[in-house]
Amino acid sequence: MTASPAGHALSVRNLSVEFPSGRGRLLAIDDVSFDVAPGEILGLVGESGAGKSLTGSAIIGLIEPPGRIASGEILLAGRRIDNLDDTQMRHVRGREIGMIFQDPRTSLNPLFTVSRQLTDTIREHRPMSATAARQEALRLLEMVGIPAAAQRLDSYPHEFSGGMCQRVVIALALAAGPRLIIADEPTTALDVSTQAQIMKVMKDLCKSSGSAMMLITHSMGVIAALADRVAVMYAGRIVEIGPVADVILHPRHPYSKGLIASIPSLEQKMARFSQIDGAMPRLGRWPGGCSFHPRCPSRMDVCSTVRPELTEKGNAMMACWLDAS
Amino acid sequence: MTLDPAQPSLIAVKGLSKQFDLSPPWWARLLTGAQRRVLKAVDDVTFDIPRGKTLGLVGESGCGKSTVARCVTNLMVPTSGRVDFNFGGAVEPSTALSPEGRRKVQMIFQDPYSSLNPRWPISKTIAEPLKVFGLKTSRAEIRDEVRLLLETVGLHADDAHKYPHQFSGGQRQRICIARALACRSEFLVLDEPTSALDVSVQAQILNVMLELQARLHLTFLFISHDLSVIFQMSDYVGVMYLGRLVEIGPTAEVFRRPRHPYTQLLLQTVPRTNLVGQIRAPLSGEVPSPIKPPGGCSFHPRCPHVMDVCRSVAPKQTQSGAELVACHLAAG
Repeated sequence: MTASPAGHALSVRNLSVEFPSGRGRLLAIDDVSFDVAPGEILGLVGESGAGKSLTGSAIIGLIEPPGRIASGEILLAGRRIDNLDDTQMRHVRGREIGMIFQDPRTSLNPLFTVSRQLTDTIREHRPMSATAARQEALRLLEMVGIPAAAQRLDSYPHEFSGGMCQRVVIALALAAGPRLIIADEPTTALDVSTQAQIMKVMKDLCKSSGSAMMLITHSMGVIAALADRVAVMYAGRIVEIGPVADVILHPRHPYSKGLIASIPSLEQKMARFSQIDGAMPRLGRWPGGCSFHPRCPSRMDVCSTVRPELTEKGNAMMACWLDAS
Repeated sequence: MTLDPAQPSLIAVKGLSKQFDLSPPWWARLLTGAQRRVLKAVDDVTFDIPRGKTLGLVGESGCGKSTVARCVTNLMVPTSGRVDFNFGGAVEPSTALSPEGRRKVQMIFQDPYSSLNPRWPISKTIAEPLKVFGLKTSRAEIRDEVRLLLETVGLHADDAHKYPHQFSGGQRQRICIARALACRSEFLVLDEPTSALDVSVQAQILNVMLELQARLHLTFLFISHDLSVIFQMSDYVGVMYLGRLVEIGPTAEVFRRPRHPYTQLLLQTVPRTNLVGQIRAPLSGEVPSPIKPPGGCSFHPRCPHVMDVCRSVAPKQTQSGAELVACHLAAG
């Protein structure tokens, strides 16, 4: 985490995203910083409403108005991209940042064949003849593991199953050889057996192409299998970030601990599920101090008044007053 | 087979099948010569649940789990087979349940956002079954009962006047449970009750269900695609693939020593948090379309132990230890 920003595929520095409202400006993402190295997979986990997907949207410049980036910087390979205008940003999206969304059926145009969608994307970003682009499309489909790709090139999305559609979406995301891939719940809509296949494709491609990946998901199992590092988000902030083995096997922040403990085990039958009491507060009702303090089993006096910052603890970083001194 | 011969079963499902006719209309078939197309959503499913126990049904999307739930609760009429309830009196078939029997069978759905009336305060929603079944008649009694039910599921009695949009997903699922309990139900069908919730909230809701089951001696049919939730919640587990029950038995047995190759592969592929950096043995291929299921054993194109007989003969369910397995391997 100490390398120069230029060495990172992506650097997010003190990012805050706000939504103006009748009750003043609501901070949905509050001072978030992280880096992703080339070829690295960073997992972003948290409950719904924690700001995971919004962080992804901020990076590709697709925050729904009236939401906007209030402060902070986003650097892609050392170049600032948060202040680009729409035309410049269009060249970054697709060319330098690929996207994979949750529902593969809505990410593909149902009226165009798969080859048309792939060649359009390829030729938009790379100068290439139509025949060469078609060859490239075929190569991409084979790379993501579509059997008999040559025969299926001219099929429509409805002729593919959910898992195959997601492979096509991954091929589209990779079409221009991006530096960064943002995958937002890429396997949530798929069945377990298909999920494992897609995870394998994503991991292999990331390692072989050197693209960095930001993997946004609520599933700790997916993070454990895929990610190199993981950031746990709660109420718009990163509460713990570190190598996946450290955070998942030995979480230290009380929220990460509670979140991981509440995953039902497949090894041992429990009489009762371990739960975090209460629910994440709604946007705009985040408590002062550490926003987790009302639900925290080990809260202290300082937690309700002073906000803890991310500090280094062994291999990981966490924002908590516990053993902070 | 009965899962526990010592316990009387509350519900017995025998040879349940549900087919959907997806054929084009008769005139179109006549003009184009198109064939009839029939989707076998559920194919010859047999199980029973002992009183006070939970049967978990697990399988991938499209395997017929929810259709079983709908046939059991009589929301759909099965094409063949029967569902019998035994609440202690006479045996009642699901298609001819007495009003008393209907009250005792309730369902909780996946999406707590669409299963509550957004225009009704939750007190009205929970009071409705009390009025319909004549369980409480005076206004004061109904009000007290609603407050009691809300507290039973871990909500505040003072929230009774609020509307569904004022609650979070987890709280709404609690309201749905309170409504089901208002009927003094004995058998609950839970169709993916926590799939729309975050893990930490899921744990809360599952705890509520476990407490209520122990206290009120409820019987559950618990449907989920999440193997770990099924493992924790169920006494018995049934694994479905393309409309058929491929394996059923005591949960500990099935998870410790799965006998059907599909169950084995399912258990291998599920991502686990204690296996960092590992993606385990991806199952090749995908679930085939239930309209044109493969002949013989429908799992044979994906099965690592496929034999010649699997391609032509559909395996019958055979007893293997405490379990029933539909596989030629288990039949020996």
